[in-house]
Amino acid sequence: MITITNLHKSFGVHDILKGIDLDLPKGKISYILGPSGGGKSVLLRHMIGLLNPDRGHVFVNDVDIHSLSGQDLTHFRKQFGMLFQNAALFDSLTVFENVAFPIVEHNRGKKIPDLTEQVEKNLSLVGLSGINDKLPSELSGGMRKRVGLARAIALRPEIILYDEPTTGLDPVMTRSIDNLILSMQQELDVTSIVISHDMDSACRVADFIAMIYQGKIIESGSSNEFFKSKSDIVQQFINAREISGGMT
Amino acid sequence: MIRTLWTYPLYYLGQAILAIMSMLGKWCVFTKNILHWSIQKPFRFDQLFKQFEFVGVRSTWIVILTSFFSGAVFALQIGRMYAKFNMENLVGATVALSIVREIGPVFTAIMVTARACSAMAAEIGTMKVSEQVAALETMAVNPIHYLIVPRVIATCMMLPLLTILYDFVAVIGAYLVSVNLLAIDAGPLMNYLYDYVDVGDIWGGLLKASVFGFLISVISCFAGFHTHGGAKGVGSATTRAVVFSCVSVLIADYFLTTWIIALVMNK
Repeated sequence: MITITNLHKSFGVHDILKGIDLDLPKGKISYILGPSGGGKSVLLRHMIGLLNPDRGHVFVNDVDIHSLSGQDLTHFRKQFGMLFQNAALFDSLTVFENVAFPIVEHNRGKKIPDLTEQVEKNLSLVGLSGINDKLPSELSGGMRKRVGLARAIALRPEIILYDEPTTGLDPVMTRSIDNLILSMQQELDVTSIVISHDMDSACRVADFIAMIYQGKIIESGSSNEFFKSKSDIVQQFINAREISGGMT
Repeated sequence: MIRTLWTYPLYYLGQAILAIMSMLGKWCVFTKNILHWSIQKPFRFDQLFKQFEFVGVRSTWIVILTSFFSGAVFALQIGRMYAKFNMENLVGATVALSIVREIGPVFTAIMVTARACSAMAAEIGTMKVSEQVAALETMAVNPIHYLIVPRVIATCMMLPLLTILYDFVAVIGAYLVSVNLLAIDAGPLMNYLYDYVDVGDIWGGLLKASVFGFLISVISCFAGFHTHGGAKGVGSATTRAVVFSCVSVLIADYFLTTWIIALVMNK
C-alpha cells in the first residue's frame, strides 16, 4: 500500500530522516511510534506529498507520490484523508461548512441535493450531532478532532493519516478517539496510519507498529512482534508505559 | 587576525545575498504558480466576488476620504504658488494631470495595501501557521488556486476602478477649493483642465493601477503564504507585506512612468 525507501530529509543542518525504509500494510491500522522531535510528523507529511524528500521515494499504490505535481498531485490526494494534531479546522467556517467543504469543492458546478444528509452522516460516524452551527472556537479539543475526522472522511478516502490524534486529550477522550480509529477501520475499510507517542493507544488499536528513533526505523512488525522486540530503545518505551500504569 | 576581520563581513554579505536571491527565486516560482493556476478549472466565482467586495467595495470610503482631501490640499498649495505668476487658471489642469497620471494610482495602491493587502497577509499567514493551508492540500484543494488566485485577480481588477473613483473625487476636492477658497473662475479652470488632460493620461494611470494591483496582491499573499513562527511570524509577515508593497509601488511607478513617456514620445 505505502512503501517508503531510503527516505532522507534535512532542515538546514539538522538531519531529520536518515534513510527510512518501511512497508505499511493495506487495510490495517499502522502506528508509527517514536519520541517527540524524532521525525514522525515529517515522515507523515512525506506520505501525502506535503514535503519533498532530499533523497528516497514514497510509493502509494505503486505510484511515487513525489514524481507528481500540479493537477496530478492534487487529484492523487483525493485518496487520502488527514486528521491534524490541532484538527486544522477552518476557523471562519461553522462545523457544517467545515465538513461540507471537501464535498462542495470536489463537486463544483454540480447540485448536491443530499449535502446536509452527507454532512450529518459523517458527523454521526464520529459521534457528533446538533453542533452544525457552532464555530471551531466554541468546541473542546476532543470535539474539534472529531469534526476534523468527519471532514477527513468526507470524500471516503482509501487511506486516513492521523497526526498525534490523542495528544493533549484526557484519558476518556483518548479512549474515545482510539475507538473512533477502530470504527473507521471497520465501517469504511480504510488503511489507517497513526503517528503517535502514545504506547497505550498503539497497544489497544494497532495491527502493525513501527518505531522511528533518531531519523531511522529501528523496529517494525505486527503488534505481537513489536512488543517482543529485543531493541533496548523499544523496551524502554514499553517499560515507561508500564511504569506510568498504562497497561490495559 | 586580519584574515578573520576580512572574511566575517564577506561571510555575512554572502549570506545576505543568498537570502535575497533565495527569496526572489521563491517569489518568481510563486508568481509562476499563480499565473498557472489562474487559468485552471474550476473557476471559483464565489471566492472571486467575495474578494471584489473585500478589496473593492470595502475600500470605497477610505479612497473617497483620502482622495478628496489630497485633491483639496494639492489645489491649495498649487493655487498659492500659481497666484504669484497669475497662473491660477491652470490649477485645475495641473492638479488633474498629477492625479490621473501619478497620485491617483499610487495613493490608491497604498490605501488598498494598508486596508486590504495587510489583511490578506495576516489571514493567509494565520491559516498557514494553524495548518489550515496544509489541510486544504490534504483535501486535494490547491491553496494557490483556492486562496491566492481570487485575491490577485480581484485586486488587479478593483484597483483601476478605485483609481477612477480616486481621480474623480480628488478633482472635485481640487475644484471646490479652487473655486470657493481661492476664488478662481470655474469656467477657465475647467477649460484648461479639458485642454490639458488627455484620455491617454487616464489610460496610463489605469494601466499603472492594474500593475500595482498585481504587485501588491502577489507580495502580500507571498508574505502570508511563507509565514512561520506563530503569532510573531504573522505580525512580521504583515509588516513585510505592507513595507515591500509600498516600496515596490513607488519603484515600479518610476519605471512605468519612464516606459509610458517613452511610448508617448515615440508616437
